[in-house]
Amino acid sequence: MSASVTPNGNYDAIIVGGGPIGAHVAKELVAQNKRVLMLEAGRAGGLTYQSYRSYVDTYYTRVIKDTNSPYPYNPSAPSPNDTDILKIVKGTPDMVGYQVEMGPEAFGSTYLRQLGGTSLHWLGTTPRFCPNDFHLKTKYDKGVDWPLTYEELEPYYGQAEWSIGVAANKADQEMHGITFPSGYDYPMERIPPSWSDNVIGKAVKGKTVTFAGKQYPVEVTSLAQARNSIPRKGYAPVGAVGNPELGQRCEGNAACIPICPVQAKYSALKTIATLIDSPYFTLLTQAVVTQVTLGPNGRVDGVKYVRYEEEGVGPNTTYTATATIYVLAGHAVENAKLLLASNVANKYNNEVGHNLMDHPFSYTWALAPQSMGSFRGPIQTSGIETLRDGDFRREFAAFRTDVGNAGWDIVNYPPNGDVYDALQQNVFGKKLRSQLANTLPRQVRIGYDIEQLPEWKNCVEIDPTYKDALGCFRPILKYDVSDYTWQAMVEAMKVSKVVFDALGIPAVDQHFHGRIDGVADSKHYVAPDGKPYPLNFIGAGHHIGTHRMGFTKYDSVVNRDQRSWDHDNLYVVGCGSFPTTGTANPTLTAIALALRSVKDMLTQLR
Amino acid sequence: MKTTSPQTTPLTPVLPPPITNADDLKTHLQTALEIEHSTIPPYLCALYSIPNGANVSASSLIRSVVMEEMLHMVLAANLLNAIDGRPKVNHKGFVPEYPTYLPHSDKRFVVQLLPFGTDAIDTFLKIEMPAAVGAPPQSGDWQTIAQFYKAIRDAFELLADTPAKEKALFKGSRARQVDGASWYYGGGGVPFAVYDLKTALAAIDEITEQGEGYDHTLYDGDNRFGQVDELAHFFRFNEIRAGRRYQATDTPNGYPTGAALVVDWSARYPMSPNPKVKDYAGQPEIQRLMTEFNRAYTALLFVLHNAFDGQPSVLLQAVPLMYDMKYRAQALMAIPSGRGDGTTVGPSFEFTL
Amino acid sequence: MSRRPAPPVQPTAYTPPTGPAGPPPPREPPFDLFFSLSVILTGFSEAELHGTAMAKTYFALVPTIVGETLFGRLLMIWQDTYIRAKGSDLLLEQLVTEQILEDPGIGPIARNVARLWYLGMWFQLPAEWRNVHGAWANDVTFVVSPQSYTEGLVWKAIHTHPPAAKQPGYGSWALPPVTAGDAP
Repeated sequence: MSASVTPNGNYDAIIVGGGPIGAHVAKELVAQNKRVLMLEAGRAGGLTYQSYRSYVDTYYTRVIKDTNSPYPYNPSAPSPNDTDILKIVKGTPDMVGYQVEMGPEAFGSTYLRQLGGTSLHWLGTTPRFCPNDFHLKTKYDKGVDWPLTYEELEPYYGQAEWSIGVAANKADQEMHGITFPSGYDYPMERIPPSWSDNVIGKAVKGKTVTFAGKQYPVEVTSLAQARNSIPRKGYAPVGAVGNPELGQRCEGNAACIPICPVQAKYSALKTIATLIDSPYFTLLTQAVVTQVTLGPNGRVDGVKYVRYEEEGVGPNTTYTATATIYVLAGHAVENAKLLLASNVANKYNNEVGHNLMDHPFSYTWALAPQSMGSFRGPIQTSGIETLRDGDFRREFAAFRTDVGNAGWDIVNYPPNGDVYDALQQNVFGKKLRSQLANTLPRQVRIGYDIEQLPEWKNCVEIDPTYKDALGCFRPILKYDVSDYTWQAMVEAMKVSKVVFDALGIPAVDQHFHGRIDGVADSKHYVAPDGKPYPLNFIGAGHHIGTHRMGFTKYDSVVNRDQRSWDHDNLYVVGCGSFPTTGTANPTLTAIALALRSVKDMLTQLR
Repeated sequence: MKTTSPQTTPLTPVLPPPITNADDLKTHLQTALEIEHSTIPPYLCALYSIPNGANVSASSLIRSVVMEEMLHMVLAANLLNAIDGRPKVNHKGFVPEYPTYLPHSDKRFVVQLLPFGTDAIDTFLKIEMPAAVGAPPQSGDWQTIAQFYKAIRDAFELLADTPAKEKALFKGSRARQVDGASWYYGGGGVPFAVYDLKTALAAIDEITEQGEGYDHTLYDGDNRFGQVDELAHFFRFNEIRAGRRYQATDTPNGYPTGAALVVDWSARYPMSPNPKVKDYAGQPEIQRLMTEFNRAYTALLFVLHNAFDGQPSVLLQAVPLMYDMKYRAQALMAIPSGRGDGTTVGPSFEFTL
Repeated sequence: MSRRPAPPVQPTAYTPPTGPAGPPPPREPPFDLFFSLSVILTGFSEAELHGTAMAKTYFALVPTIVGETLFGRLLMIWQDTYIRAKGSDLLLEQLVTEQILEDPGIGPIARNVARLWYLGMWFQLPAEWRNVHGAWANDVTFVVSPQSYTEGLVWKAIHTHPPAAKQPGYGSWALPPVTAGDAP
């Protein structure tokens, strides 16, 4: 049931955050008849088809179609937006948006505070971590190890994949030691690779790249993705909330980020919709949790939250809610912010907020000699996954390679600029039409999700100087990228070179770094070979590491069950718990970790 | 069989003969395929003449009927393949020339390609008219589609009334059946394989109940796959016509008395009825766009044919073709016909290679 | 993966107005002139433009942004151009460029008309136009309507569909793309 007023009564669990991680914890606890209160800072849109459709209409009319563009602006629970992320000039923090960016590099990713969370605007790519991702320190003497192995997490990957609905073929995913139990299969067949995936795949067949003296194949494989496809035995695709026959298959809307209009892509709304009528589930939206309070024994004894009726308008009342256990699932930055604001989880260390990471996303682009059929299908259907692990990780970062279907998308945002500029040159009529037809479909973009090492100095902080309309702290981000990652951006270009050459693209049509609009490059990185490389990257949309798990209470915030070392009944879940980033898009792993944590949570709720 | 006395004219028409052999049944199942298909272009013309965003409820209802007619085509093909028949879809003769009578009907009413309006909906009501209680099966010159299917149903029961005869009748290859959710989705239900009398009767019942209702009720009794009971087609059209929803206490013989269903009869492109490419001889651009629609439509017929002819997985290609047809049809609907009567062009559904 | 906003549009150089005295008043209805001008500027046929159902909307919109006078001047010069071209496509293209697109007053408006059709968006006119003709209140960059976005011709031109609308169906992205030799 949905509570519009303060709920009363004690709960077994309070979950802060209505995104995919919180939704899965709620789902598992409710299935065991535990009373759950979910507090979500944003509004409860999207639970009816009409309200979701209004997001789509908003998207249509936005001039800048950024990651949060379909969703309503909310000064009471603000989210970072792409338009606020600017190049940081040394010494001048970027304070345009909700987050305060101190630099030296801008943290280039956004998240969303709305019911459903960032899963509303995510791409939906769901690879598993490779086994070595959990042992970066032991294997490659870099970063740290996880207090968990792939084998221990494996059963929960399968559970997560069936819970959200992942489309993949096992054969494509058995790489770098990733194994599946015999008899396991993904719930849906892989999303058909795009025409251009197949063209590229054929062209690079048999080709290799050399990294740190070893050869690695360049091959195109299908991505595992949380997008509806042909179901396998035992699975029925879940369509749109409130309109279940819609979204039974991916229909090629090509707008995955920022919104799937038919809800073929998974969002946490689908999970929450199954809970909303349960007597064990109470949802309170427009509820911003401001503090976690401690009792005399160090256990959490309540959360304080502010309820706003109208965005940005006060005064608002603060309430308290209590439960046996508390689960922070507000995503990495908000979780850290709340812990810092509450001055908790810091008895033995100052790790809270630190080791902030992303997957810096560097990109290359080219104009193929023939049409690649660009601008069709999901934004990405395939990747080059062979560089996700290898001995070269002793020297530079591993990465996933995204083979895009949307032309030069994040490079220069076609087609608006192409149309505008052509007309500025007085190219009009049939000439304009054929110029567009002869160029845009040939656009190819290859991008790299690159691992980043944990560094204590990269962090989320708070300061009373920076507060939002509700009086809550705005997150202050300090962020940088190390040579381990810069070098990988240089190395990754080799992969693009192989692809572009294989496609027969002349060198003049191949582009490797910088931005073509002339904005100053982010970094002139000098490689070990002495050559300077102008490099640039954007955020992959992955916020990782701010409340990491570890082996001891001295070097981490939570243990392997995502339970706080300091406060027995406090769990901090989500991508913020990752000690390292691996190369996989993190949501699937975060859901798997949360499902695993539920076991420990239930031991407190007998 | 009735006999007539020499001095009086018969008060009821002579019933056509029942279907008594497998070849005859195959012919009639091919006709069933043609009947199901022949309703689709008129329904689509009405649907696509509604501009995006207008008449949302009516649009949604018509679309749901079309999806079920597609399912009926698949089931009819399954029935025909089950008895080792060969569905033929990819030829000019499969496509009616509108205005037309429904295949093998008693020609009581004409079916046209019309834009959304009371004329169109009234025709749809005639198409989906439930049979009267006790109406006889009619293998030809049928009054309602339901009676035509009753003749087919009787034929299956007759020809498979012993296990040996059943085995002999259902000798079609299982591999030719379109089965399950792999190749078909988007509403309307899930096709299932036909391979014996039980499944054949289930298929026929699914078709007739979705069309006219289950056992003379408003609903289609469609909880076979855990679906929600939906109104039969006839009653969905009646809701549009009456501008009201049915509620649980209404009966098939009465009007709907539930909540208002808002219909704006003027919110539609005034497509010129029964468009033909040749009618636009002086406007080659319009002819080109109409021909492109017809090519997409014909490609769909080929996809259906190949899917029904031993390659069920080909049916996956049907959805992109139907979307392509939809966008082309909607664009055609907005083009002034140039006839000086305020009408617009529309899709002509002509077989075009 | 995150997406960043579009980079800012670069302004063009200003040139002072030149040209002959105004042409005679139009004899064709303004809507017809707007429509035929749109055909020339976009390279799409009348039937294709009609198919978007946006013609009346754009015709009504432009004068509310730049005023009736300039809009009327654009249509008059277009009619004059059309008459002078005497059916020669080559001459028409040349005259449209010289008489309309290179005219500092109506050129930017004409280019924006093409952008309306292609993108469903109005783009704020360049600074040098605004300096001479004024900063009109409605002259801001905006998407005209949800429908104008979905009916943008650019997607047709590059053989695809607008993101989040006119979805082409499961598996369609695996099909071979339309090539130059196929239907436009």
